[in-house]
Amino acid sequence: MLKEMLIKDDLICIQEEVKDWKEAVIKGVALLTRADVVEPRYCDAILSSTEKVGPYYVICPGVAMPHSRPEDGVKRNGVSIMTLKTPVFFGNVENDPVRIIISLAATDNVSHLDMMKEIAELFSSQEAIDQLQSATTTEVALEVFK
Amino acid sequence: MLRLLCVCGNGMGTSTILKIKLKGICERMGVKVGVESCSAGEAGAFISSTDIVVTTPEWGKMIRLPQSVVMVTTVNLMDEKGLTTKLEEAIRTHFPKEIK
Repeated sequence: MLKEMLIKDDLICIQEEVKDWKEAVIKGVALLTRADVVEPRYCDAILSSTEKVGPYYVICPGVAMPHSRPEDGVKRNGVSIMTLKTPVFFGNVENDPVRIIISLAATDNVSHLDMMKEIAELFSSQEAIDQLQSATTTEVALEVFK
Repeated sequence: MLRLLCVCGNGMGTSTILKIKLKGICERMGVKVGVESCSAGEAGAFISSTDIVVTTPEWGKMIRLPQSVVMVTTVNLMDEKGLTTKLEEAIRTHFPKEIK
């Protein structure tokens, strides 16, 4: 399911260059905005909560999953994947630096379960994480997704 | 049956991943559980029907728990081995009847 969505809505971006965590979030979420998954204000919500409570979405070493609440402008469930050429620091001591940005949008906390299962399964594999972050073409990166 | 509650900032991302991981972990451990997830703000409403809260250290600091509820925290949500060890230890210490 994830793979089809990434291809259909053009939601995957490989070896992107960003200067810091903020630009990483902005560019990752911009993929969702472009695909009409979220309104532009969704990104502002993520940035302002990050500044308020810290990087609450760095889920495991090297991987961040920025997201906010449905009422912050989510139009439908969706995920974008972005890998970074140069890793960035979010301020999560144990899990920094980050090279994979999974931008997540969900309309509620139930209907995104299948999507989340795929993410949980995929990112439980260090091999998959390594393959994804070292991929230099979208095709190779997409091979990681079932 | 043990009642687990996964908590994060807005009840969407981290808590959902924890819920998915914990269901699998408990099944493999042979422990019967019911797993719910919610935001830190909603946690108060669930707490009276919870045995173990699972969250990240940052949210753990913000949730007030009654003495009867045990907290398990993890920084790496995908670290199945670490999460299994911590959860098993918590169950053996506080709910020994629930595990063989």
